[in-house]
Amino acid sequence: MSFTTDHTFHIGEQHSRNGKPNQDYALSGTFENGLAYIIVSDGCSSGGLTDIGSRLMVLATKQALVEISATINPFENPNAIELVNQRRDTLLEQFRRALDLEYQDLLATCLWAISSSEFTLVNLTGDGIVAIQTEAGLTIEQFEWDKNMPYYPAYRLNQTDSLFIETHGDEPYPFRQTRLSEESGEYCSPKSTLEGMSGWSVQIESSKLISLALFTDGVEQIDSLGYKEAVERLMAFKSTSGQFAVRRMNRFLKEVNTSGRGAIDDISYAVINFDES
Amino acid sequence: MSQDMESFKIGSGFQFSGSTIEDLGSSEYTLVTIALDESGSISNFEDQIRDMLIAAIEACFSSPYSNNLLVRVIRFGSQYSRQNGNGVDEIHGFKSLGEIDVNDYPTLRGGGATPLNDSVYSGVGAMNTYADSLVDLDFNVNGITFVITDGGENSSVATTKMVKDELKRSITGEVMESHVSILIGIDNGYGYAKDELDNYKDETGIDQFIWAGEATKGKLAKLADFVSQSISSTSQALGTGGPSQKISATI
Repeated sequence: MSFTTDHTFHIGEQHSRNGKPNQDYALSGTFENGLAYIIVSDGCSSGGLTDIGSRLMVLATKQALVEISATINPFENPNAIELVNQRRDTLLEQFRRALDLEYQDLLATCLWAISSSEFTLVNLTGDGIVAIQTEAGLTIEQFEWDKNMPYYPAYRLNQTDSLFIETHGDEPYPFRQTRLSEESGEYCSPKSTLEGMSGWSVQIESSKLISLALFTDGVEQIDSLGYKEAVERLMAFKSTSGQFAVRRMNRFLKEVNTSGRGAIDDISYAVINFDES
Repeated sequence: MSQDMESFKIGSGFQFSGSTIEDLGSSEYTLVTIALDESGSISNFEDQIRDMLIAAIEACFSSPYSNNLLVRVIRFGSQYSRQNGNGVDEIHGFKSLGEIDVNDYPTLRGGGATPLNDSVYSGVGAMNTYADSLVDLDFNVNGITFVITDGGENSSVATTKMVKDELKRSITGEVMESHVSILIGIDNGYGYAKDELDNYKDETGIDQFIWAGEATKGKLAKLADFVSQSISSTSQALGTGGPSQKISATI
């Protein structure tokens, strides 16, 4: 099995209009050990320098994946996700101190996936969308928090988990997973604050996958376009060579920007394509 | 043809080549075609035209968008009419600057009549066809075509209508974001071609006609400068949805 990966990120209309930076970041590629990876992060708009925070989140995650996958088999070790996220957080703390950043600068979501020819492992902390294309069709897993207040790994770093729990205290199920599947239909699973804080993960046999994409929640904020259609259009690759995700996103934005506000929020995605041949 | 090039057909027996699209690394490209007259009347300044071509291509290397250029160079003369390309010989198909070695450009050997229609049809037709394939795969594309000649049409397979239709297709915005065509006339000492080429521009719908005057070394150096600046301006316009800013031609 071979992989092609690509990623892209764009500033949204709101940040562009207000002179704010793009707070999304994405990265993809293949490690020396042959594992393909994709990572996206969305910095909190009301945080600090979260444009830097989202970049550091992605770079720390990439480094953690490199290190952990060099020492254990991430698809067999049940602690792999925890080990990766812990190492990521340790690196983030080091970056924060070295750059004299505040914790609020690091308020950013984190979605990552790694693939070998046997398995693919996906993990989400915060919100966003995981799109899984198989022979059976497209499955879109959407994750959202009430009040648009997602859990960020930086809360744990700053030991402010309890404040986060308090914020969502009066809501029994503030975290929701909505699945739109061409194969199995629609499904919604409300989750408690604690469940949401531990995020979501899945391991899939790579042979079942055609492509896997991670999106920040910007894909849910396209003027006059539902996220299902936006994801479907962004997954409709005409080819999977070169900068295939960049090209698809550019064409998509050109089309949606012709009427209304286009992409209102920053938008990013990263994709792995699986080729059995 | 090298392994990373593929061949395409335009119609009426015209063919061209271009880099394998699956191998292209950027998401947007400016297509450039330079067509050089190789009819008998250029025989006194063949070397200067080659030098002009080399200078124009070398100048493109310093463009900030040099990685987003795909350049095709053709020559035309009735001596090529018996071959597959009708009156056109492709020196190289659409390829990135990094794959072009200007030392490989052949010395021109003037001979035969001027298949001007063939050159414009091949130039713009190939660009439309290649751009079509790129746009199908979500690439963003615009283009610029230069046809450099010292005389009017007198021996083509392609008709004026064919040329007109391709030029029209190139500017509708359906294929490329924008396309600019420039006909450049050079004086071979007789000077009679100026009006004829000006009329040809109007008749076919070419965007711009520039009379470069006598084919002296100095003027051809200025022409090379104009060509490279126009290419740079076209690549800067890519993504804006509009055509490039016109470069004033003081040659």
